Amino acid sequence: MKSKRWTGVKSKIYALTILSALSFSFFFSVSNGNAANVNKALKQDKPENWVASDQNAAMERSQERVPLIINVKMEKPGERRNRLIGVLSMKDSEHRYFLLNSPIIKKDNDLYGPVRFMHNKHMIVSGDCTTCHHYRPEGNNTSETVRCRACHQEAFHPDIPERTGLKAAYHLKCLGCHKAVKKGPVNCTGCHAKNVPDHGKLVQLTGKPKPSDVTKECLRCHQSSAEGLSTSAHWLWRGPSINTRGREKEISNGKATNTMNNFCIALSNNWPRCTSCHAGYGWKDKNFDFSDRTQMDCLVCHDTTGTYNKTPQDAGMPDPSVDLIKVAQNVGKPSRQNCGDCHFEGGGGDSVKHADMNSTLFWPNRNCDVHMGGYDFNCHECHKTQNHHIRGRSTSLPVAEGGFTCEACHTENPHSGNELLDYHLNKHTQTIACNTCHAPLYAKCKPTKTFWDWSKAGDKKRKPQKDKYGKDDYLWKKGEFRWKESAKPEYAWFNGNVERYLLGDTIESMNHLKITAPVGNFRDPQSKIHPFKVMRGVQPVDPNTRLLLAPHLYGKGGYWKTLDWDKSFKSGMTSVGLKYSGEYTWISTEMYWLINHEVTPKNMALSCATCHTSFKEALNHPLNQSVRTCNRCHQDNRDINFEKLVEQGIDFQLLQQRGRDSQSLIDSTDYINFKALGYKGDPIIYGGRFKKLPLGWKQ
Amino acid sequence: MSHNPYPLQKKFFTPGVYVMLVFMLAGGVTILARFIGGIGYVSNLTNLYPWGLWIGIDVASGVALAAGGFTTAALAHIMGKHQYEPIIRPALLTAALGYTFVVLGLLVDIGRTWAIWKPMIYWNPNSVLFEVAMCVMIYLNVLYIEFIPIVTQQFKSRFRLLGVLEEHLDKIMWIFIVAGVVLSCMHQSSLGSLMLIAPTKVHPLWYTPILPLLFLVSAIAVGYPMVIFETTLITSSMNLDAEMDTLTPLSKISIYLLGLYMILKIGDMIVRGTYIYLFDFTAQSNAFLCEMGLGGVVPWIMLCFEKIRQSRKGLFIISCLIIFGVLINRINVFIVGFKPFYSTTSYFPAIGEILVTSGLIATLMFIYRLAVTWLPVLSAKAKKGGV
Amino acid sequence: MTLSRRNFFGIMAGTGSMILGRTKKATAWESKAPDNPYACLVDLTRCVGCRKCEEACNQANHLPPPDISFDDKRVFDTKRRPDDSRYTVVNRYYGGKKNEQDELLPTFVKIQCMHCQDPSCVSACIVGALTKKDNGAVHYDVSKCIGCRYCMVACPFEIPAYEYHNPMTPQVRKCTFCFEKISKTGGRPACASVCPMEAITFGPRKKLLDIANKRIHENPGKYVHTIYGEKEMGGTSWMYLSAEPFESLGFQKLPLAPPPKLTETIQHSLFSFLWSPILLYSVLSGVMCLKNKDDKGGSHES
Repeated sequence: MKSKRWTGVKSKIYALTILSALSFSFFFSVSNGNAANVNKALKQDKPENWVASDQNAAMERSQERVPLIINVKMEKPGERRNRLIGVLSMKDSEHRYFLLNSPIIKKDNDLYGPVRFMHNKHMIVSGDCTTCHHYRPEGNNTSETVRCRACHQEAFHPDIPERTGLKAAYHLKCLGCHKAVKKGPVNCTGCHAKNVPDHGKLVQLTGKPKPSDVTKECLRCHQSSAEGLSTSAHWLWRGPSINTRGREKEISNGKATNTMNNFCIALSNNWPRCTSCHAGYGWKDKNFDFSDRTQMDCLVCHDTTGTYNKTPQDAGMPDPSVDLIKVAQNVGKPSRQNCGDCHFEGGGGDSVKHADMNSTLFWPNRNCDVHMGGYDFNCHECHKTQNHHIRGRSTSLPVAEGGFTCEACHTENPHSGNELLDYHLNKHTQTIACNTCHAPLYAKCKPTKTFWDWSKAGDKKRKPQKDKYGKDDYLWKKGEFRWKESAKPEYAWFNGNVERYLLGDTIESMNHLKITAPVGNFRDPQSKIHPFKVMRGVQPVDPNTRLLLAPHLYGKGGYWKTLDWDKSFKSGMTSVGLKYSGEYTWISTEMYWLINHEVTPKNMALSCATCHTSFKEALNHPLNQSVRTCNRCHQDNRDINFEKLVEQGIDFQLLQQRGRDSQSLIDSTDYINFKALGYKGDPIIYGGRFKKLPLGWKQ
Repeated sequence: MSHNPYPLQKKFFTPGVYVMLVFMLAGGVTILARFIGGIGYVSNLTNLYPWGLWIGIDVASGVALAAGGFTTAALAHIMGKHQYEPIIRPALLTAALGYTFVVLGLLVDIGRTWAIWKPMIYWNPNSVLFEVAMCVMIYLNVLYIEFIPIVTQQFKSRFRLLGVLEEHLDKIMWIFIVAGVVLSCMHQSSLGSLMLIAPTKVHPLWYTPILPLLFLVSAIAVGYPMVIFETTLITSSMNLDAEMDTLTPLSKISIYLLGLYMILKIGDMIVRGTYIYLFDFTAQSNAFLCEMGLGGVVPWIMLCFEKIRQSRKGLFIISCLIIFGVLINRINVFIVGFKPFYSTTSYFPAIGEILVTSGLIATLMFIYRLAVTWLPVLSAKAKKGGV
Repeated sequence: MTLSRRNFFGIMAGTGSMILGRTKKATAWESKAPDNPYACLVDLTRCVGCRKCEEACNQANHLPPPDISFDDKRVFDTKRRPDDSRYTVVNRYYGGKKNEQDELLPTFVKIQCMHCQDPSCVSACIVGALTKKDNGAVHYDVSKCIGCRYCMVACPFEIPAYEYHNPMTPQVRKCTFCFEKISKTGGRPACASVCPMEAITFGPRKKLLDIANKRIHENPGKYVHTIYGEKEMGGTSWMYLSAEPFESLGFQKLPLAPPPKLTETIQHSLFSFLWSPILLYSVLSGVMCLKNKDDKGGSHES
């Protein structure tokens, strides 16, 4: 697609004028009948029985007190290392994960939250237990390794004044090593989040303050936060698009200006409704003043009471019934509640738009998302934030404020559990994104929209049918839909860049348009296989100008009032400053949505056999000795069940029994479709993309 | 020889007095500001420069220049040189007023003015400042007692009781006179010890263990020039006889006193080897050269000439130079030579500080004039055509 | 004025001989330093400049909130000094050490009251508002203070700060060594307990000297072989270890003798038991008596 660009001085004015485009879809309601309910906050209170199992276990361990070891066996570091090489290994690690949160540290000061410590990862990276376990207790039958707090406890112990306390032991060891190897965080918030002080007394508000009064009060101390937010994507809804091919140097692409999708299409002239998810107050038309920092909405992200709500269709203003003072006095770090309230509801309802984000992530099961469910991650722990610029990229939007990868935490060689499999799995990471195996399904628990045909809209007489998930297949305002739950992703090579259609670009083929598509191919070493939700739709296009049309839907003169497409396009396109010839037709479109969340633990990841047909065959024909699994290369004389090894992982049958829509996937193999990705077939048989070595296979 | 002090009873309000009143008013307003806004509001004092003009001039220089009181008392009363008695009373008045204003200056300078009595209860005998404070306090009282006869002489005809007091006081006056000299010697020298606690801050040109001795000798040396200075000033401004017959012999003593001071100072410099700093041409070295040359060597040479000593003008210039030398010495020790290691700026007094100091000096002069006008202080005869 | 010669000589002989005999003993100056007070050892090689100590100090002493937040590293662009709103500050120095990339490495230096063993301020204080406690703290008692600021003149580390904008009840403000806290068993100063790197080690002074010597001994290439504060100005309760020469980190090269030694020696040798004033008094009275004996009863007024 070629971009037809409005140029010159006007472009800047337009850029602001066109604030409409993108978020239309993002925040639109699914049904029309009870619009008031639709945008009601999604937030959910924590269910009583919800426990983040791994986190909970680690927290309990962190609270244990162990008797102090006064005397240690003094050994020279080199001697100790030599003595223990080959004696200690990964198997000696009882726990993979620790929380550093001992009450010993919190005795005098409680400034920071617990530190997540990935013990196994550090074992792999350092490769030397004695780096941290530098001494052992005195005596003959003592353990070679003990917990840090066995020796290091309170600081300035009168009997062992030269030994540092636990807090300093951690910091000296961690920082010392991180600095020495130039890896790992060296600043405070790189490891632990600062506790938010109680704002109950700090916030000086009385009476019934206006939302902007609250913001002013926040800014009294947090000037620099406003400074940061003022240039951020959450405030401007636009920004630099370094990952959009051909637009790497542009700085003003985004929902506010020119992004489109095949849900609600664009922001064009639909402000008050779309901007009810804006982190600001009163973006009701193109004249919104982005330099007025008192209109920033601090509370929507920092509320911890769960009582803060924005009124739907009121341009981001809070519900008048919200007790703003109470909310302001209870601000804190954003939780899944704060982020999810908008982001789980993309496209106008729970789970509609994003394949991998919906309200189940508020309190997810460990198998649903291991980070949030097992370890109680909050969004900002991965989407690290600096000056209110939030790290992370999506394929659906061009704005990027920094990115991160799984490898940043898990390293390039993340598999450390089963030694036999590790080597092979770690080799996979050069070709395959983590989520290809670790998110084998998307929309696991809630159906998401996968198809939307706008051309069918306008028939008030047509009766919506319920599909198997109980979802309507039609709405006169919007057209025809299809939904899917526990969907199998589509796989594609992706190197991090996105091919993107933006408002005003000219369409080359009028038959079909990819609004977003991943960039990457089989031959590109930077590309890895990634899972995608592909959203398909039918939407309006101008056959003369060859531009996708941005309709005016909501409010006075919008399609939902007039049912007149022509008027709707005229109004919508005028509002974004583009030409509309007066003719329109329909085009089928596709959008690729990268699946980043709903990361499963290893027991729910794809098994080897789900993709590798050669393994599946061996499993299906256990008596045929010519079909082989690992023994294709390895001599099968070890006490290991190779069959079991290649089969361990996600079980679609079990999922189906638990009520998921995974029937069609049972017993599947070649899951990621090797041929479609450019392979000749199963790489075990035909070789990988760069190595042409068939593994022990004869025709 | 006989002398008869008498109130001048001259016209009081002259243009000069009005100028004094203006300074007094300005000083008063500034003092008010200090007690409303704090010391920081009117001064340039900082954590690194905690002492400034108020201590350097009001206190240190004030005490030094009030030395005329005890030196003349020692000369006339103790040494029995009765020919100098005519200058005792003006010197005593200067001393009493001087010390009064040392205390007033302190009241402005110390942070908790209302707590100034506390050193009487809480003693720290290790503190040099404690000793200075005690001496100044007692000496001030001694000075007032010594001053009583001047008042009683004037008013005893009106109040009989005063006459009785005068008689009784006269019998024990020797106790106070000797005490005055002793106390003066003590705190004049201790004033020099004050800065010995800060060896790293005071410039080596001034920091010497014999600083207390130097302070004492210089105070004694400046005593007579101070008497000469003020007598000359007041007699000329009041149009009186110059009393040269008293002043010229007085100046002869200064040759030895100033000489001793110079020998001590130069000797100390040589012994400690601090002459290496002499020609740095920093503010400190310049100030030191100025102090030694203009305020020490030049007047000493001038003193050696009989002719200059006998001329009223010459004597006045000599005494001015000596006073200048001692004044600048005190300023140097307390202000110019005070260079804290961590200071990035240097101290210069704020307008507020200058106004307070000048206001206090104006008040001092005002009261002096008031006293000589209405009390029997001066003995000088009016010039022809005088009163 | 009358003075009998007999009386006078009697007084002079009596007091003079009595006092002269006793002064010799009083002149030898003795340190009043506590034997083994609490102390802090600051290992500058450990400090990362997080300024948590400043924050903890601010809270422990209920000081006003800072102009620039404690997280803001821009404060290191200037060299700060403790003042009435902050009892401790951390400054950044580039002492000259470089990393492999040839970039200068910062050294962070915490400054606060050094709690000298023989403090100049304590010796100087006119009313004894400042005292050296047995637990090591140089303690300020505002109820005695008159605000003369002689302590500030005296302090060789230039630490005490003054509330110059308080018109009537200004105080001298400086690190308290968290006196109240360390007076209780198990208590430690706020800054030491918060320090994430244990750059500040708190304990008995002798023990800390052992630790410091041990660290130097075990890492001879890491540290300069001096413990700043061990001997400076007669020793201090806060001591420093450094990887770089102290002079390049804003430390002043200081004499080893405590300044009170000189002043107190002068004071006491001159004034103990007031021998010299009494002697001088006696001599002067004698001279006065002799010189005025011709004047019939010593009366000088005619």
